[in-house]
Amino acid sequence: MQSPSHARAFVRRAPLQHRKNLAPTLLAAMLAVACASAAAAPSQLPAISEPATHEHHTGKIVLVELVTPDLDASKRFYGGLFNWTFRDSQAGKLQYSEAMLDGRPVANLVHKDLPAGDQHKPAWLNFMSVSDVDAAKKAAVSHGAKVLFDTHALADRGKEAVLADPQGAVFAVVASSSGDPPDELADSGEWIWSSLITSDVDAGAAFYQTLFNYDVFPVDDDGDGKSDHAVFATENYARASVNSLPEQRPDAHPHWISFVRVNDVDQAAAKVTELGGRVVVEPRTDRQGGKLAVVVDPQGAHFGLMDWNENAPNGKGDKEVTP
Amino acid sequence: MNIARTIRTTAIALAIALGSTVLASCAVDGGGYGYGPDVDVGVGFDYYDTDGYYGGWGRGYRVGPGRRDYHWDQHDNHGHGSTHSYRAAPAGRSVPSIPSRGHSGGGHRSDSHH
Repeated sequence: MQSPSHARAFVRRAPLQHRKNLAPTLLAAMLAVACASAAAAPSQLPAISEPATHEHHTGKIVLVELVTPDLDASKRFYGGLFNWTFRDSQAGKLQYSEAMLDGRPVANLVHKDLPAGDQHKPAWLNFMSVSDVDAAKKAAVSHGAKVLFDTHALADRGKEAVLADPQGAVFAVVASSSGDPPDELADSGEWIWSSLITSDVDAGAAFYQTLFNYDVFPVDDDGDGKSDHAVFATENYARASVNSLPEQRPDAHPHWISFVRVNDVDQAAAKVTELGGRVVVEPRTDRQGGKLAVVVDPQGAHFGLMDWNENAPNGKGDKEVTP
Repeated sequence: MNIARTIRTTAIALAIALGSTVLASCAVDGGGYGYGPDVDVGVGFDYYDTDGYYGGWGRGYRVGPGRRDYHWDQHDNHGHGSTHSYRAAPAGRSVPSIPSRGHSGGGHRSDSHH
């Protein structure tokens, strides 16, 4: 066995030509390490919370993200509608833009080509907070969900996976590495509410309760004595509703939809049309005189508009707590 | 002779470097989808079957949250005899509202307990 001193002696006595060969070899090795590190680095995407928080709110929708075939057109539309500004970035071939409102991140827009003839449409994807993506995924799959995109880690953002619930509605789970945004009332131009529109309210509620330990409040809006939808809540905050598909289209695809708070739903809906989008559910009164609408952006992604006034009087025909 | 050996050594080293790079770009945390800089967009950003049908939202079809003073009809949410496949919130709890505290603070926490 060669002692260290013998090894050092070998290096000292190595012929000149071997030492000359050592330089390119070392250079190439260093190059290999550098290239390998760069290639293995996860994509850089914005953190969910800026600044980082130490909060965690399981089941809360903490990120809403749009995949669009025309990033510039999407930025023009949403910038014109909500006064969002954008921070563009690129990671490898991935082009994305972080939508900001008053210095706060409100959404991510990601470019992806949509081949001609492809029947898919751009969509906003909801990300629900979990502490352990793999555990959530395992629980989801054991209750009938499908994994559409397996667990992956993204630098700054955290770990996430994309799933389809047993009825087919697509959602994502994320364990944010920067913490979750605090529970605060959305300003105008921020996401304020989400709804699951599904073929089986009971089964949907049970599934999401299993995943996020939601408190589920069944409600009966049409007064027929049966609950036709339910509200999901955690930490004493309503997080989302689950509603049945409209009676006319029981075969429609279950899906999640999120709503952006606006000051005036009628004006915002008119602006959508002006900017090239469409209104698919005309402004209508919801609870307590509040209004909402469902619209489609010029690329085909659905989202909702909703007003919210803590101090408004209850609307006609609506219900108030009896003193 | 020396030049040939130098070239050969350099070529081998570069081949090792290239191989390492390719292998590293395929090694993805969590499983094989690949999202290195040379790989197409594939971090879950995709077009899924999310298309929803809208229309036919009849009278009484409501999706929004209620404020704290909203009186919900919660006819059948009270555990005993419930036919739901989920655990309904206990009797005596009203439906919470969304957060009321603004970004700059203030407001109050939704209190749904009676």
